[in-house]
Amino acid sequence: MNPSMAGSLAEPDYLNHETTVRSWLLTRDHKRIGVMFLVLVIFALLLGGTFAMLLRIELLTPGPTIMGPMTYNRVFTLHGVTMVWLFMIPAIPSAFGNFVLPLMLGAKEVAFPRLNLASVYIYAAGAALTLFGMVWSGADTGWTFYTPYSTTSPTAVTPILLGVFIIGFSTIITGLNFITTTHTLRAPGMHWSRIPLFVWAIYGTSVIQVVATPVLAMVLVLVALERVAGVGIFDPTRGGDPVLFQHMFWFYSHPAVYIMVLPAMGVISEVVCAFSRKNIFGYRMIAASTFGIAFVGFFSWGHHMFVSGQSTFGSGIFGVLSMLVAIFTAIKIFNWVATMYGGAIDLKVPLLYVLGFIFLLTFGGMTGVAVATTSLDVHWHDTYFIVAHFHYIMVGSVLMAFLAALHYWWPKMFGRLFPERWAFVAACTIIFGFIVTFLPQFLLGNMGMPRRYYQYPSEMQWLNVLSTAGASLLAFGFGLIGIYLLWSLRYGKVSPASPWGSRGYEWFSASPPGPHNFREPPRFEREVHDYTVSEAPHVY
Amino acid sequence: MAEHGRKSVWGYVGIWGVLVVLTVATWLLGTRGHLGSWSLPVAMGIAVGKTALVAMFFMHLVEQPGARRVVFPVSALFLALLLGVSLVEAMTRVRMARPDGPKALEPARPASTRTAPPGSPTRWMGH
Repeated sequence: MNPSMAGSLAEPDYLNHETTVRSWLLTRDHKRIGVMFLVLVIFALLLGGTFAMLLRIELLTPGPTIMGPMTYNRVFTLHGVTMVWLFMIPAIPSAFGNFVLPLMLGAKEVAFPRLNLASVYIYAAGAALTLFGMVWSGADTGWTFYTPYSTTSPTAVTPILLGVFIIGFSTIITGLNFITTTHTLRAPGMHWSRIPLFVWAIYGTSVIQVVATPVLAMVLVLVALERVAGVGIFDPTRGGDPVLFQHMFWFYSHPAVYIMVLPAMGVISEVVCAFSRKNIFGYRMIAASTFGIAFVGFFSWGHHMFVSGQSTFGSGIFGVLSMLVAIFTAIKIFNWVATMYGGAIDLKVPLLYVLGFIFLLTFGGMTGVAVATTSLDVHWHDTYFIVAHFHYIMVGSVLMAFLAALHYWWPKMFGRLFPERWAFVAACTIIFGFIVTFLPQFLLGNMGMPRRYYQYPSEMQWLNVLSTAGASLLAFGFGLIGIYLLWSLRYGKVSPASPWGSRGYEWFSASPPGPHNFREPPRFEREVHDYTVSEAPHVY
Repeated sequence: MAEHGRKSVWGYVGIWGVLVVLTVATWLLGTRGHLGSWSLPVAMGIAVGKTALVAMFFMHLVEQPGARRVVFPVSALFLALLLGVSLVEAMTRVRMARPDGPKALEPARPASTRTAPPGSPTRWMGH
């Protein structure tokens, strides 16, 4: 079938074959569940972004600007909790993974559709409890809940801990679902060596989610127990060890960085192929490096603890192991660049975000190698240098990949095209705004400005003003995206089946796909992203 | 062996017998072993062996294909990683100076008379 005709067929798709509220609330369709997750995580992004803007406005002047110190402590906690637990961890796997992974595998559904629906409600319940705790009396511990402060803080730490604990179940269920789906529901012709790199990334992420999330759940419950029942686990006055909390917390939370970044890398691998019109350079090495990152990521949690009182021996080992992550990341970056080299580059908006991703990941990664060096980390620890580093590596890469995925798969999800000119303006604004926001923070940190302080010496003001100006550009860019995407849902041009000319397996279905994904059982005869043949992919 | 690769009843009885023997061995270790500081590691080693037997045969992991069989040892490996590395780190920490001055120059006191002040980071380790 000619893909340009597929979009015009009047067959019902997953959006309009049933339109009642009940059909959405009780759906077992992975695509609808992906859309529900997308709405929820965008709401979380909006909330977290609003808190970020409040922080940046407060830091416009060296003294108090719009809030007092206690409010500031609560707002940075709200920002961190919302962005990390409610947005960045579920954003790509739960929203785009749910929508795209079965399509890429040629499956009708995920392995456990009911559990998949449950994961949405568990996430929503956990998020609601977390937000309730925030509204009730906030929390001022930061998103890391470090003991002994988190066990003694009078703010509403316990409901927020329980909320994050509940969200963890959603993460585990989603991970189990993706692992099982990848093993059992692949279409004929889908050998392990043909699995799209986005699926490999989600698979690697799922392994981390299943293995590491229970440790986070355990440590959060222990903190809650210490708060509620006075059990001495982390409080040294009761025989506990506060450093033990950091071990358990970072055993999950460092790999959690890869829960955020690996799916982002999977998105990049797909988009870079589609807009370079080339199959990926070094498929096996990229897939292997995904697992290399996932594996080494479990051995490097102690680099968050160089000034915690951790042993020098431990710090040295963790420092060296942390640097290994850079090797696997570099493999990916070299392969993406090599994929683009000599390709027929089509600089559409998703590829623009890919370029932003590669720049931010490289810059953030190199500063990561620097802070993995213990002597340097002692100088930079808990300064804005660290804030800038993790925003580049974690937030920047996740946001760029999230926006690349959103634009790349928007026609697939909703069957509409967005106005490319506006999207181009928004992408440039966001990439430039991000750099302007966080680059000055490297300098501020190197000058000694500590994180989580709401006052600073006046000679640091110009850099803080620059950072706030960048944040305003970011807010403008996101606002623009929200406007044109919502506009396109109603007024955008109807998309053909494969508007980008991509040969990714997910484009072998209609856009938007039917309720059962494919009209006939698919069979994948060619390599994914095979651009060596001239004809368009068969739409099943 | 019965069909689907499952063991016969007598096979399970045999494994149960091994578990009983290992349980008795742990008990003997506790009451008559006299292994001193090795008692705990040896007992833990026996416990890990028993857990592996239960997982392999009574939870039928041994009958599973490769990928599913890997799940158990990988989970155990990650748990060992968390506990092992945390313990090695704790054991190699520099001992904090006491508030009333360095004690290293004083002659060592019997363990029963040594107490760390409340709030000492090393108190949980029993120093």
